[in-house]
Amino acid sequence: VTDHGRHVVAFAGQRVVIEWRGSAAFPAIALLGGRSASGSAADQTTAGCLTARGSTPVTLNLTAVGNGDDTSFALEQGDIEIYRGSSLGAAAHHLLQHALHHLIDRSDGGLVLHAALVGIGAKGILLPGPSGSGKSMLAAWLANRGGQPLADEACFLSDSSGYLTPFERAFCFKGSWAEPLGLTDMVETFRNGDISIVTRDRISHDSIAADILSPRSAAPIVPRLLVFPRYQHYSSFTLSPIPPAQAAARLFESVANARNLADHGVTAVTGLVRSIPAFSLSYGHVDQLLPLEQLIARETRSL
Amino acid sequence: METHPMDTSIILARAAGFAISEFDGEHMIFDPVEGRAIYLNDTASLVWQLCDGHRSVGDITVLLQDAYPDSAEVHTEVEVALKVFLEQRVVEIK
Repeated sequence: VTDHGRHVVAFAGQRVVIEWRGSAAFPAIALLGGRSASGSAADQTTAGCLTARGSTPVTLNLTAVGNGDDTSFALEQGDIEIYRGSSLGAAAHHLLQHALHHLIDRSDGGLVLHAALVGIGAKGILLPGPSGSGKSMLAAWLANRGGQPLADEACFLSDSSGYLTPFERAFCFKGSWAEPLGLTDMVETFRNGDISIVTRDRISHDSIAADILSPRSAAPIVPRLLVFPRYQHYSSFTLSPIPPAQAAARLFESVANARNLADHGVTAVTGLVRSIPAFSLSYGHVDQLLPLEQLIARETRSL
Repeated sequence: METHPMDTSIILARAAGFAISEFDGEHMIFDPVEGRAIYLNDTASLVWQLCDGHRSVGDITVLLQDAYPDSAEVHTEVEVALKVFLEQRVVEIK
């Protein structure tokens, strides 16, 4: 049984290394990239980083000490303690957030967007928005309707290829997400405050499980549709096209690495909004979302 | 909130240092210092383009009233747009 390992996560041209120790830490590692950190899977993840740019990657250390209910977790970056406590969920959430933060911090060569991404074949539905805007829930709902849940938080749009790369991790849902999705009996999640981290191997409910569990498509993802979601309990439903200039201004709110880019991402943002349609979505319950499904069906068929 | 009418003799000019993108008569203005973007619809774009450092607020209002004689709201729209531009510092007083 492996009780320590090294896991490398690559995204947006950068790498983060996670050194982990203690078998109780392993489930948190497995949340990143959707792969086991042990044996050949870890090697695959490392191999995937060979194309990553950058010099020395940031290293995070996750340590689990003790057994059963007495297990404690520590997440550190060098001498800096990020988390110490008894909650695997909290340690895992900090790990996911810090890994992404460091990857974004030094990213270049394209736009990093705070956005969920759902794949319809090789066509990507981008759902940009801040935390709490409902993008994770919307992505999970679209997965239930046949899409691939590729990312819940960040995507990379490469300058050179024009393809989207999702930041692969377990989905992090904020607040009472399970009830609108009809998953109230799905209790096996990691938790940190009001954040529920839904692992691929613990979801076992109806059709949504199969989709979230499914591996991502190997095909490059081409952006096809922009939807800016805003979720608020019991709000009315609106789905309206927005002009490219407005879409560009809204998309800038979700650019995570503007300061790393020579033109602050202006070329990439304006190029994206000129090439695909954009819509503004407000919703208060997933039962309202049929028109969105119809829109996506139209847009993804039209190429 | 109390609002004051603008001095129509003020001359405004588009501020420098912004990245401007035009989309079919509408504009997106990006401020690289603040890291924020501003959306201008077609009317706001027109007003913003008329802020050339020579025309006064009164000149701009008259031009747009002549261009849209059937619209009763031109004066208000111009004033609202210019106040937003000044707040967002995308124009400056000459």
